[in-house]
Amino acid sequence: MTDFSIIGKPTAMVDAAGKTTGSGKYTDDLSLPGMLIGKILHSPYPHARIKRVDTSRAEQLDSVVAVVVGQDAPNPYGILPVGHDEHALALDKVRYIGDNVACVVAIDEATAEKALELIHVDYEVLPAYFDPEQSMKAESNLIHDNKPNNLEKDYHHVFGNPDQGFANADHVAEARFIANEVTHAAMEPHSTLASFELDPHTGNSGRLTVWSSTQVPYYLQHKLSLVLEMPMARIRVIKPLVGGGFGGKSEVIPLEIIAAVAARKAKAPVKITYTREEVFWAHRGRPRTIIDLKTGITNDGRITAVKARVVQDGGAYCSYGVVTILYSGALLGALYDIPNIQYDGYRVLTNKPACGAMRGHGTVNVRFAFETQLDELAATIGMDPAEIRQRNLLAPPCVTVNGLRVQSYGLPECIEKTVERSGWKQRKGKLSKGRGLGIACSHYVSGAANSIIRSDMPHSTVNIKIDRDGGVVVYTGASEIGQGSDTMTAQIAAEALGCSLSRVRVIAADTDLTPIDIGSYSSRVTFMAGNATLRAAEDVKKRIAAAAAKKMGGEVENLVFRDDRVFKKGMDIRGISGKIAGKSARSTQAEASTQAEASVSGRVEGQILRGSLQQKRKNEGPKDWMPFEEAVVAAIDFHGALTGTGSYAPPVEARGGRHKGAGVGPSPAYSYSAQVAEVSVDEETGEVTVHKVWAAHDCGRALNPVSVEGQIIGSVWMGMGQALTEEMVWKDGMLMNPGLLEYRSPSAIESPEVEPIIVESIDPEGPFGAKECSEGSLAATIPAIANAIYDAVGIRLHECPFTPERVLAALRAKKNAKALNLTEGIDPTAPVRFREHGGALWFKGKGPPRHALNPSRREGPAPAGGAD
Amino acid sequence: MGAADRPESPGVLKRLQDLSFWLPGNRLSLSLEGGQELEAELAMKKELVQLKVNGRSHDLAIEPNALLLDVLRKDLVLTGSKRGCDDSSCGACTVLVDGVSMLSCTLLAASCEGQEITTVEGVSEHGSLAAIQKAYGDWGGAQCGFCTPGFIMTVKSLLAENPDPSEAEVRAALSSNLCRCTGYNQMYEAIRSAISAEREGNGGRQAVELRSTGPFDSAQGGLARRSSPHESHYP
Repeated sequence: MTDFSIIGKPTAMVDAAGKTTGSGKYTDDLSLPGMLIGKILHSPYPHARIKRVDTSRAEQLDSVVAVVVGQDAPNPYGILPVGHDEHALALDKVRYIGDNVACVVAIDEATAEKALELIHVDYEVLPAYFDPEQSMKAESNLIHDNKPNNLEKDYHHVFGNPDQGFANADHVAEARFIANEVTHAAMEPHSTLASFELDPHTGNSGRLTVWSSTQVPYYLQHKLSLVLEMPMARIRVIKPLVGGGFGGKSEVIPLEIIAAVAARKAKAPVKITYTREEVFWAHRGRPRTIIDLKTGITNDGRITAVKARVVQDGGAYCSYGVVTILYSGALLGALYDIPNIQYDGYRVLTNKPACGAMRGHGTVNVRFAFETQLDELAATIGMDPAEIRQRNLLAPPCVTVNGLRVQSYGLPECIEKTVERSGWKQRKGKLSKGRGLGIACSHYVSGAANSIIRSDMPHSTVNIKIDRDGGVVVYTGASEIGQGSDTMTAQIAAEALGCSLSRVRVIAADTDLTPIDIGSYSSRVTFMAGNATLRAAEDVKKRIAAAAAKKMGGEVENLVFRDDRVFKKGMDIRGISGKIAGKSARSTQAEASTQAEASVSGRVEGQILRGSLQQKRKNEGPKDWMPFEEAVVAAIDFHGALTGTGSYAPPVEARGGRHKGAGVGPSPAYSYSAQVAEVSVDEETGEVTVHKVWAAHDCGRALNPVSVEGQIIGSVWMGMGQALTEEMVWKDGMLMNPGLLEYRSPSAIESPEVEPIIVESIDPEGPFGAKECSEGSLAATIPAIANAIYDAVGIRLHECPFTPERVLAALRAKKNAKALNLTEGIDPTAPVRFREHGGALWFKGKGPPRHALNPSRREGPAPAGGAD
Repeated sequence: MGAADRPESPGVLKRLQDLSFWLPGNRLSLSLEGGQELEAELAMKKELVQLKVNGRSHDLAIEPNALLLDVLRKDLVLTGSKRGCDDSSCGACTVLVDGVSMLSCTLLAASCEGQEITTVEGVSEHGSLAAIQKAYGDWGGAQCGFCTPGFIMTVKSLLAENPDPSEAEVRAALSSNLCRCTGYNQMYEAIRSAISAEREGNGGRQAVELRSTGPFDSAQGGLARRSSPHESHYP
């Protein structure tokens, strides 16, 4: 292993103090003089035509400055170029409960809320679609007129010869899996502050500055420019601290556009912050997914073919939908060696909030289905579940049947390590009653090889400026959202320049200051922005080296940058460092300034002696080493200015095949994960407890092990939430649990111990060999828990989350007992927690008749028991 | 248009409507049968209140129904305490009132008169990070950091009450707050290291073994047996 001085060491995040002292500013913490507050009026109907919006009474209310409606900004937008189907505020139709209708701008929140009640909207209620499989049959009252059958997009891919593959199989398993809808629920609710400044030349409204909780400042700049019809050059987007994203802030959220439109109309700065309930409506989470999966294997455990039909309940707008449905198919490949794949994916529109990208974008639900089915097949042929995975490994470097290039591949080591650390061989099948172990694997991209807006331009660019004081400033568009992006940038720059971390300052995600970076999503930052940082640092280092070499009378190739010094190769670095440390300990300040090792800008009683020291060092003639600052000064002397730039675009070979939809899935590198979960199941209550998860993750190289471990633990934890408790429960398009407790985000009590195991496969193209570490681990957790539940009590759960109801239903089915239907005999509108779809407790058309146009209303008096 | 014919407002809007009397602001409008709207000025005059926050007294004119969180964030610009939810479920707004951890989002500011309020801004000591703050940074206890101020306050109140908590006690105390990034594991390491730092005055480099209490302390590894983040707990 190469010897590094900065990377590979656990490092506190460069912005950690701001977070732990409360001094760090998130968007909602900002305010501007004269700032107004915006509040949004949301639709109470899942599907309705807007006949009239009367805002006159709201406008007359004292202290209301403006009321914004759809006509104020009628241009459509959307995160994908193929999906421009959203408007800042509804123009003619609302498509989900919570859709945006109008926005009031007032001096404070209370006034704005009061004014919302005075807005009168006439709706013509339309029939609505809530179930994706029903929605696909729709012929009239389409959600979007240009999408027949409410089908956003469908893809049909065949790689290899699946029919032949199934014919060659000794065993074939076929089943339906359902993964219910989950959302990011990042702790910080979305917030945006927008402000126009007056143009001194025209005297009119000029440049726009937007502070927003976003993962993608440059996409926001682009969409604002589309909607506001302003050139991007006049829009500045600044990303303050962001309180978590997980994909929920990886596209343009309505409030970001509305705040800017409102600021334009109100002629004053406007801030909008969502309530937690509005965050749930804004959503963009992981869609409910129905997976019909068929897998064939031979008797010796080799996978011969996979066939998947995937239906995603995408909600009312396109969002990232086309990409999600493609990821679901594409990432069937690149984990195991699967020679034949058939994939049919359907992204369906329904009258619910739009689904989008969420941690493990597109892969998680299909991975749950696949890994569970593989476990079932292993049981069929009597093979150890860990071994069947080892039988189907890829042999990289290789290109999969669906065109994904795999280079570094740490999966074998991941499986080996988790099996070893969890005591799999000794403990599997030998635990006490109701307790079990399960294994599963997963993978994810390290950034998409093709950007959303297709071009050959770089995905990341980084600038570095070094001034005569030796301070290194890195300008990067990469968005820190809590994952450690800024720290990674500083570490890479410091490592490449051989200077200390404290010398490096990162200026990030401000479209006026930083060069373009397409954002923090699909785990691209370390790989792409990291590579760009490395190249920028190498660029500037080259200039320093040229000047230093000249001064030291050596060759550029023979210089080493390390520990804030520039050496001639072969010198005993440690010796010098030791000598200096020893000397400085006993030297007085005055002495130190005359010592050779004193820094160029050596301060004596507050005075900077840069000039005289420089002169002194100049006179000393060639030397074997010099401090970093002196090398920098030499370089500025030599070149006149010292800046460097670097950019990264994925190589052409990594950009995938040529079939329709081939653009999604390819990545310059894939991360790998293998996990073992230990669970126990209470057969009386159906409650599942996860005791421990061993998670090995191949992250290429761990640049900051504390962060890598944090990301692995966080992914596993979020996967566990989806596996056991988290679920968005809908009733006729209305979200029944729009709060963090009702949504059941696990607390410390419910959260297991996670043992992260870092596996380093050293990717040939990653910065210092690094790959992704923040998403790949999530997908393995759900099937690992499902498989552990099977090991514990012998039931196969095909629908997540594995709530006590579902576990009990499966336990009763296993005993051939009558299914326990908890909703039986109870009016379905009565219980507090009512599920519109899902598993054995699916409400199958029982209950009182509904209003034809508005199913959320019931005719006649409410039946007894309607407590909520 | 009568109130009965008005479309139902979804969720929180409806609830806010019902609760509008209690919200800051001084107007109440009611929809009556037959299209009449009643708008009333509520006598919500501001009152002078003296709040002692982080050891400093502030004279403030606030509405009697103003919430402590809003007063801290807006009137005093102490934005360290965060609002993460609508219904006191997340704990990001936790502050100490006379040493007891409270959710400032459901506390009337006026009711805290005469009490010592400590926010996250009052945790640092002598211009330096407190042990728990340093440890949260070193051990990865904070990722996005939005929930961190609330956790810091919760941990402070836990350690004030119980300087030597068991693993189960730490978990129980932290369960009042939600985090979506860390999965809580690295927070336990941070807390352990902070306890040790407080005790030894050694800057958090030596870990204490928390008394193990249950099945979560599995035979292998266990939670945070490392003594520093520099020591790898895998081979």
